[in-house]
Amino acid sequence: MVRHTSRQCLILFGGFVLAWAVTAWLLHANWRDKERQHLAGDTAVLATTYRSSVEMFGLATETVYENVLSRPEVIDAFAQGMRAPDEAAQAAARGRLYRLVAPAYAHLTRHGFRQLQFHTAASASFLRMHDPAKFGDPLVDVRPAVKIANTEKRSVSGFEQGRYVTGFRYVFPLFQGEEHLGSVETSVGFRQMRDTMNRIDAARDYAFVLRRDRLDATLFAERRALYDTAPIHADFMVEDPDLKLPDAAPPPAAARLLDPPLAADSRVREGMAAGLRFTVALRDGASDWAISFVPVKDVLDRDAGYVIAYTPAPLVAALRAEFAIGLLLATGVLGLLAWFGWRLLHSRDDLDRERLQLQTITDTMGEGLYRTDERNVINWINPAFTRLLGFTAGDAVGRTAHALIHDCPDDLPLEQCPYFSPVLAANGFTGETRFKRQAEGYLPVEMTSRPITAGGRSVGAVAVFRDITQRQVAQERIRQLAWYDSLTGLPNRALLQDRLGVATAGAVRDKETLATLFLDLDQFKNINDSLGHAIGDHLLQQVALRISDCVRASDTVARLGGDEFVIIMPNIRAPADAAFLAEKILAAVARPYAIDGRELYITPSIGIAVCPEDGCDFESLIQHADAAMYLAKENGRNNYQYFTAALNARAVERLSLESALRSALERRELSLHYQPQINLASGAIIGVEALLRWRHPVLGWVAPDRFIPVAEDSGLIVPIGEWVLQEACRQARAWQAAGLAPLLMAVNVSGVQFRQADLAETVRDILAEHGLTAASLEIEVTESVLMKSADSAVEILQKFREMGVRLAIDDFGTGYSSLSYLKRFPIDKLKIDRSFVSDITTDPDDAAIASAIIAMAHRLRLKVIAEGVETPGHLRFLLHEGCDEAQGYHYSKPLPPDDLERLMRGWQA
Amino acid sequence: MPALAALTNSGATILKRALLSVVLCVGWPVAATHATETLVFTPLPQESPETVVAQWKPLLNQVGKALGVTVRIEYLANYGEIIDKFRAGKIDLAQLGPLSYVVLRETFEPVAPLVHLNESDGRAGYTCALVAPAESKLAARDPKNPLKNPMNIKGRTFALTQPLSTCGYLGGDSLLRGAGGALENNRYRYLGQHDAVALAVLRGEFELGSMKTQIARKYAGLGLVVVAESGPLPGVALVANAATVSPERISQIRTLLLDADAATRSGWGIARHGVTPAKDSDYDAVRRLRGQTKIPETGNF
Repeated sequence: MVRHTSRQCLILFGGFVLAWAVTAWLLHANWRDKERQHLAGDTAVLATTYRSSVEMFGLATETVYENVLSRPEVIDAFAQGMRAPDEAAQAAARGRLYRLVAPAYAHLTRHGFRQLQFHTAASASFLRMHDPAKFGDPLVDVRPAVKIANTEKRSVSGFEQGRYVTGFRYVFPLFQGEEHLGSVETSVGFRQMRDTMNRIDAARDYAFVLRRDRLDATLFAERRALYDTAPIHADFMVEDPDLKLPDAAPPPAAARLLDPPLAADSRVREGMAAGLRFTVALRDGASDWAISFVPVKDVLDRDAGYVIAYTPAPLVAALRAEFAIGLLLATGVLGLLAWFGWRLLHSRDDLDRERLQLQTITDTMGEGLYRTDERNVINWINPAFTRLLGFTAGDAVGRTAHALIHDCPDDLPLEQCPYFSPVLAANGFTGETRFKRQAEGYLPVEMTSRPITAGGRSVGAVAVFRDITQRQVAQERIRQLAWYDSLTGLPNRALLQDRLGVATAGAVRDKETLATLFLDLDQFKNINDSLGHAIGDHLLQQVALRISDCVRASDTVARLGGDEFVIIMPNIRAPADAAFLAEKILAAVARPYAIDGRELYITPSIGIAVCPEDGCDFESLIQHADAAMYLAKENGRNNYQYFTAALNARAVERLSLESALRSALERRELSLHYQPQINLASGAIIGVEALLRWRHPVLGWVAPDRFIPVAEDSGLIVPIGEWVLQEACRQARAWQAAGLAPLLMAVNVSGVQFRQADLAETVRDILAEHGLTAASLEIEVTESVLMKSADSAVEILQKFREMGVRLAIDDFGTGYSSLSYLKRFPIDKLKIDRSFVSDITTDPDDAAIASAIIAMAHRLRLKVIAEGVETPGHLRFLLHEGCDEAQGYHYSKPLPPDDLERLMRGWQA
Repeated sequence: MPALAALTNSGATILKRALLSVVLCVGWPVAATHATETLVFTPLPQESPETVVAQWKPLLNQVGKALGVTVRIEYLANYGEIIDKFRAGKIDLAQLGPLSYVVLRETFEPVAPLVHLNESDGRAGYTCALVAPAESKLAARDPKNPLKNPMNIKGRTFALTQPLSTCGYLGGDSLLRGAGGALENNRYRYLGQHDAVALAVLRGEFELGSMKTQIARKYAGLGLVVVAESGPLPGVALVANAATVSPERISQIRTLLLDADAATRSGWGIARHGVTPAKDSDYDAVRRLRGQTKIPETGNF
């Protein structure tokens, strides 16, 4: 396209140059033709002026001839001179002739004549009126005019080179009767001829130049000095440049000014050499001149010289200006045309380019595009139209879009088509709809249609549409993400809030009862921690399905996150209906799950809040249901609880407890009690377990199971734990100092403490501070704490082992210990949880577990201690099973330090 | 010099001719290139300027070339003007007739005669003549010719050259006085040049004319007849202005002109017939004539 345009531009430029050249040539030719005509006119004027002047003198001579020279007495005197017998008589006749003609000669000289001369019939000078003393010289060879007049006996006139001077001669033969006596002539010089020409045409200045060869042939040698080379041409001479002659006149000023440049002008040089008649134009500074050249012929019609006319030629300047203006205008007009042409080409190029770009766009655009006429008949579609709807141009063109693709009833008139009638009304249409596919079904599209107007009315329409299938899917997906839980597909918290809002509004409006169930899976965290999140997620999905299977269609099951679910039960008859559903859910969820080849069990704890009793807004219902769920947890899990005021009061107590606990250390409200640990083989007290006690000034003794969870949840367990270590070690060292047998001081370390990176260093510092050997200290860590981060636990335990601190696993049997980990842990002792010991004598399972633990520990070369030994039966069983150590009320409850010291002294005693 | 001033202004024809006075410069390439000295020469306006210049140019060319000076010709149509300018030091060399020399010498002593120009007969002197047309009775040879008895010449018309021209009033009057007549008894008019006198007589405008005999004879072919001729007068002289030209230069010019051989002289134009040494005493006779004649400054009709 660009190369195509470049070629057209080149052609346009070439056309412009050609047109300009032709125009310039025509204008130039016109200018030159006019100038030539003008100059030719100048030439003719000069020729006419010159000829008129010459003839004027001829007429004057003829007049003088008729009135004077042909008078009888003059003829008679001349005849006597011709017939004189001797010189004296001839002299006398000559003198008489001179006297007779003198008046006429004087008259002639006053009118510009230079000479008057009589010749004999033999063409010898008889009397020169201008130089009377000189006569008798033959003229036949140098004066053709005289010779012709005397031989042919006719008058002769014209330019002739004389022996004295050059000039214009008028020769008349003289007769007396039939006898030819000779001739008489007048002569006019250049000056006189110039003056006469100036009288005829004063607009010009005139000059005469003479051919050098003619002068050289005829001029008397002494007259040669009167001539000099003409400035205008080297082959020509000018008469009397030094103004020596009496009638001398300076050459015209124009000649002095223009002759040098004219001499350099080849037209002048060649024209004069060829004897041509011509006029040249010459520009000198700011003036234009026309210089005309008319050859001067002598009486023998030979080139003898030139008469030259110099005249200002404003018309030449005007013609040149006319040419310049014409050329300028022509250039402007042609330039304008070329510019228009250039713009046209570029506009066309732009149009082509835009059309191409438009076609590329419409061909490659993902949106379908079609154009219709005012009757909705499709007359053009783009490829995307075919790609999206399946209709080819052959299928679509010629048919109405209304019938072909619009989603309208078949019987709907075109005028009522919602996608076309607004367009026809010049309003356009933008919106989502669907178009019929050629194959089957519909394509959801977003369509924009605009009218094509011409002259203020719609002549058609253009419509663009895009496939919004993916967008709709995405929107649905977004909606899902926004409102539904991605793991279970259940409504998420946002949708729950929405639905609960709607439901409570309806309940309040219709005075109905609505229940909200808050469900949390018991110990689900253990599953996640021990089996991984994938299994945990899988379990959650199945739990969600089971819950969903339990509810009515009008109920909503939502997942708040983690293992928490909420069920909304609108429009129930009584709060007890919620209990029915809770029972149903407890049973459904408690059924075993087969996941990834495992059989898993899980139970839920469910809290129930009821609208309007427990509130009718989202926050109240969820919060109260959550509190009820905690109550269920406290009630042993796997049950449901309604939200009650008492439960609410416990929550308040929990908060006040945390606040009091924060100041308990400072107020020295905490203390340690020590429960002895007995070697079953020897019956000796070998150690004590330090147990934390809190005596609140108002509440009194606060049970550890009340404040320990609070301390763990609030992070207070870390400073409290460190204080316990300090106090325990201090007491151990004090007992040693008091002379008691060395005791193993067992101190419990919570999970929060165990995650402290500097726990080992802290223990080392405390031991060093109190001068207690590491072997005197035993750290008890629960099984679940160790298993929660088994890898890092090995590293920490290893540090304790390196220090010499003893290690025991507390509450063994309640968690999910991995035997391989157990083998890797550098531990010394297992403590059988009291839940197994309490029924050890009555529950065979517990007994079996206890026995298995003791046996396994021994196999691993670990010692075993049983806690919660309260009866002799317990003791017997343990002794029988080979348990190494025991503690419990059977021996002693936990005692303050002084009491324990007395026990110890007594025990020893 | 009121008299000379008057002479300068005399004669209508002279004045008319004076208007046509042309300053003619003649330069020579060699002299123009090297000479630092320019000598201004003025000829006698006896004939037309072209003729006069042509006559003098060869001689002056030789002089300038030989002396290494530039000689410039200044043509003055009036005798009185020549004398005035000579006296004013504006002319270095001049051709003077006997009367004009005498008049100049009377008031300007530094005028130095160099040589006389010989006439065609080889003599240095010339004569004045009374002329008349051949067809005039005054030219007739019969006894009735009034000129046979000049005392009877009265009331005739005379064409004269100029007051200071030797062959003008002085010449004409002396010829008539020799025969007992007198010019003052006739009508006379100054015409300027000798040629003008001859042609005026030929045209019949005057019955007689007084002019240089040599020039008069040029018009013999037109029937101009010398009816009376004076005795020899000192020839036309070439004079130098001793006030403007150094004695050495004057001597050089005189020597150059006098020592030239015939072959050299043949190319001298007006002086081709040779020159004769001139001295102031050569003009004594003219001084006597002038003493006898009172020359009127203008014609009497």
